[in-house]
Amino acid sequence: MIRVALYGIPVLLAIYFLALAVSPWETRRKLRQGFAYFAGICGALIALIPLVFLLYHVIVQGLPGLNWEFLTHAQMPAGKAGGGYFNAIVGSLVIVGLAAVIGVPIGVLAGLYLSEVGKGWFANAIRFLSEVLTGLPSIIAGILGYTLIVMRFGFSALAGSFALSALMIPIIARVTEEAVRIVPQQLREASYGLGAGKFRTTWSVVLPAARSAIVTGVILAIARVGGETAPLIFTALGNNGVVWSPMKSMSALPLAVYTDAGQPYDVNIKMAVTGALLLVLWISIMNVVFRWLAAKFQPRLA
Amino acid sequence: MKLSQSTLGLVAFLALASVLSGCGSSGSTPGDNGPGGPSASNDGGSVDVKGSSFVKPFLDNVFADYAQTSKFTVNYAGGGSGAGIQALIDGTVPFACSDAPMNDDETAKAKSGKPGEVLHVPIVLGTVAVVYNLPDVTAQLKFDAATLSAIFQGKVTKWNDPMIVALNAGVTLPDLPIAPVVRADSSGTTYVFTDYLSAADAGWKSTLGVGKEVSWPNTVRREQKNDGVAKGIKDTPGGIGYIELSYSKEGKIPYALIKNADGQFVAPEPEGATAAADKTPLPEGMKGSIVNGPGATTYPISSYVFALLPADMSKDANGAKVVDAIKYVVTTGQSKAAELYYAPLPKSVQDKATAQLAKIKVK
Amino acid sequence: MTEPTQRTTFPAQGNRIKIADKLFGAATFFGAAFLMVVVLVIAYQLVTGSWAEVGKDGTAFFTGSDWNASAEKYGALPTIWGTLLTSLIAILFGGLTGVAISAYLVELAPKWLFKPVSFLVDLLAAIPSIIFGLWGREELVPYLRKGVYPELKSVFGWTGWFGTENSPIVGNGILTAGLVLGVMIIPTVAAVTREMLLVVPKTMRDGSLALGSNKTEALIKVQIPYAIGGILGGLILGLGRALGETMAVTMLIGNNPVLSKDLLGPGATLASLIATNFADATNNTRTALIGLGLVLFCFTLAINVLARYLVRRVRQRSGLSA
Repeated sequence: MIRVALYGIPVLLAIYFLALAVSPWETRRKLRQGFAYFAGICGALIALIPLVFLLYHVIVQGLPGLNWEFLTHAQMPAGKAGGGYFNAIVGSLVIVGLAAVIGVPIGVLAGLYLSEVGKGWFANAIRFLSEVLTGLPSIIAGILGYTLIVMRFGFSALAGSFALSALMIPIIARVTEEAVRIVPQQLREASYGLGAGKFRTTWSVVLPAARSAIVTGVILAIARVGGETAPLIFTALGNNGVVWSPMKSMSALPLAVYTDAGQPYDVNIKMAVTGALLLVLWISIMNVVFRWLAAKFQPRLA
Repeated sequence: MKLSQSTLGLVAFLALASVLSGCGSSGSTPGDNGPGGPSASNDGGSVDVKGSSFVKPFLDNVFADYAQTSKFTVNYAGGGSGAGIQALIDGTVPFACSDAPMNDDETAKAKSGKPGEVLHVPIVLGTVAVVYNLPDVTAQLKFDAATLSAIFQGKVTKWNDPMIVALNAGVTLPDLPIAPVVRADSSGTTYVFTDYLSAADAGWKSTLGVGKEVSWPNTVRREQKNDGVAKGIKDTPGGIGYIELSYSKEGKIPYALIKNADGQFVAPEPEGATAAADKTPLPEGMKGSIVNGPGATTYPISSYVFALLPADMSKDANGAKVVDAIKYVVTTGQSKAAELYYAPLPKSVQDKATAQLAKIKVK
Repeated sequence: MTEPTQRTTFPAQGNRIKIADKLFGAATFFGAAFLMVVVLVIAYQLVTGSWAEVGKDGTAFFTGSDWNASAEKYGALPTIWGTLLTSLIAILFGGLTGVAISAYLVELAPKWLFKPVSFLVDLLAAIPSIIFGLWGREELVPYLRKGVYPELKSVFGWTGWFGTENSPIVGNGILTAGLVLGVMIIPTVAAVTREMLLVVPKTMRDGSLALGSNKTEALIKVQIPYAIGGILGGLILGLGRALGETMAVTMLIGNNPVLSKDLLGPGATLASLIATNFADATNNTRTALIGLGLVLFCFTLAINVLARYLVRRVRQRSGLSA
């Protein structure tokens, strides 16, 4: 089957180009049209088939393990059956929550600076650096967390949060900037006309109008960093116990999935897939439910 | 207004910048804290220790028992022999554990660094199993050093190669490519395995040599830690690799019998390590390897695990407690070894280890 | 923004407004400066953290073909090679796919397909790297090892790129990592291409259709050429994502930093070598690994700057701001 494809695809392509070369103009146009449709449909299938298989695998293999014990018990040592991901769930909440505490205000402020306050070369420089930070490989954020925090205080959840917040800030800054920018200028002018200053205008007029878009951006950023593993491997490190203190090493859902996925024992692989399912569920909920909530409470603009 | 606004911002910015750059400059000095930072202390205090992951299952158990009686917690973080020695040299851990004795370079660095002279104290014995994945072969395979050396150098590439067939008369070996899996990280297990191959095969010694990491051939797949290698072999028909015995037992991955110096094929059971230790006495100072030793029941890929302690711990407030904890490991703790697939130290070595510990200066 | 010119307020209130505005300006400036400091600190840490090794070895660090941490030989070339190879495979596979999907959805497909397919493709972007790695290892690798790679080797083995004579087929390797990376960058490329094609002025397409061309011709001769800069930008953004991707690659590539052109064999990327070795590295190795981080940072920096420049140019030409 695969061999047929390996030989067949070049042969078909050759036939296609041969046909293009020998056919009259009108047929050639139709052939091209047909090929474009074919390529488009193939492209869609190439993207969707792995998605379907991946989700199928995660749901079918992961669902049987998703029970009360999984949600309320901590991890067992490798190779031992039983236990759950409670430690990882707690860890994810603490680490991502702290990252949001650092990242959201900074990101929103930076976004407001770019759209409402900053002008000229400095604002452009910030915008440029924000783009640089958007493309930052997550593993480098991990190195940052390591050199800044781990080297001085040891492995800790806080170091992981710090690394994740470096990934969050540029996303939130950009979303905020764009959201605020599309708020109609008349609204601001009306506010200024009533005697409000820039702060009052932004706080009471611009931000409420842009709230839904900003909240959506924040949710997206949280969902994105919630699935990050690379920045946590050598910052939060992982821990089989349930830890609440951000100054200690701590597990997180993606970290637990990573370590369990590397174990030679079937029980661990099953746990990893269930953890992956939980991660997918979490991200879907963030994406669908919160976006819907944000849209529902969005004040209507004229 | 514009001016003062940016002035305010600038002040905030400078404050922040100075904080961060302060972190930056001190952050770039070498230093290496153990995982977890300060761990939950019992009444008697606690220390964080790094080192060989090979011995972690054993030490976790023994130190947990010790903490119950003494109220002193030793948090063994693992991390690998290399990382442990590095942490010891940097002075971030009171002691470290390693499968490989310290080499000359490390000894020199330690001497001029924080720990000064370092004593080697054997704490337990272990074996490295050669494991494989051949779904259709039920018989236990046999290897010798020359064959293993050829396989891991990429010279023998098929399971039905004459070299393997010659050692395994009567076994039908498949026409399957051999897929070696080795460690991706700096590893004491790799050290013990390559130490054995260097001792038993001249060809290996002159090419890849001994090390916690060596220059493997291109086709070799590498995975992290014992777990990763075990998983890699389990996943891949035709796979072969070396892991600590307990991963082979717990992961139900078949291991091979290895030909020892006396020409006998021996399983990597703890008794093989005990025999190796009996027949190869440790030199003065206890730095030594027992790979490829004499004796009919000796398993040739056996190794001591050493605790590396500074000879002078009198400045360390926890010094006496640490020494006592190690003493517990080399005496009472040995009873835990067998159930965790390690071999207890022979009585003579226990005595030598205790004598070694007595040399350490404490407050 | 424009400053209000007149305010009819009482003096005391005016002062309050002024102070509030100043504080507001300072706070936002603080946010912006923080962002800047993060980037600068990263750059500073990467340079100072790796200088002991990179400065000592000089260009040998970048061109050295041997990475052996235990012998303290640190050559970055094998990992740079692995990074470029996997990213190139990803772009050839996923990049072209992404462009094809978006061109199809925007122009050729029935209207009702646009939303659901776009949604699913975007969903692909939300799935964490680690899950791709897990799925790749458990499902894809066994399939490739049994079904695909042996065939690939027997058909194209003579080129030297698909297995050598005696190499084992493990399933993990450069090609596997590249293919999964390809799937992972589809949404990035598809989203940018979609946006770029949508901003092409409708009049241009309509003009082309009015002159008698069919939809494909309008797409290929008018719309794609107009947006080509932006589409290229999207491909380069995808490349940037592929370069820095860590977890899926680490789980699939085989982690052996060697210079080999065997795509079915193991390799390592800058990011994957950092991920596997950083936590337990000795100080010298850690320094060298931070050096790899520096190389990676420079790569992604250059690529992002280039990509965003290209995308912005198309947007501006279409009269969209920023």
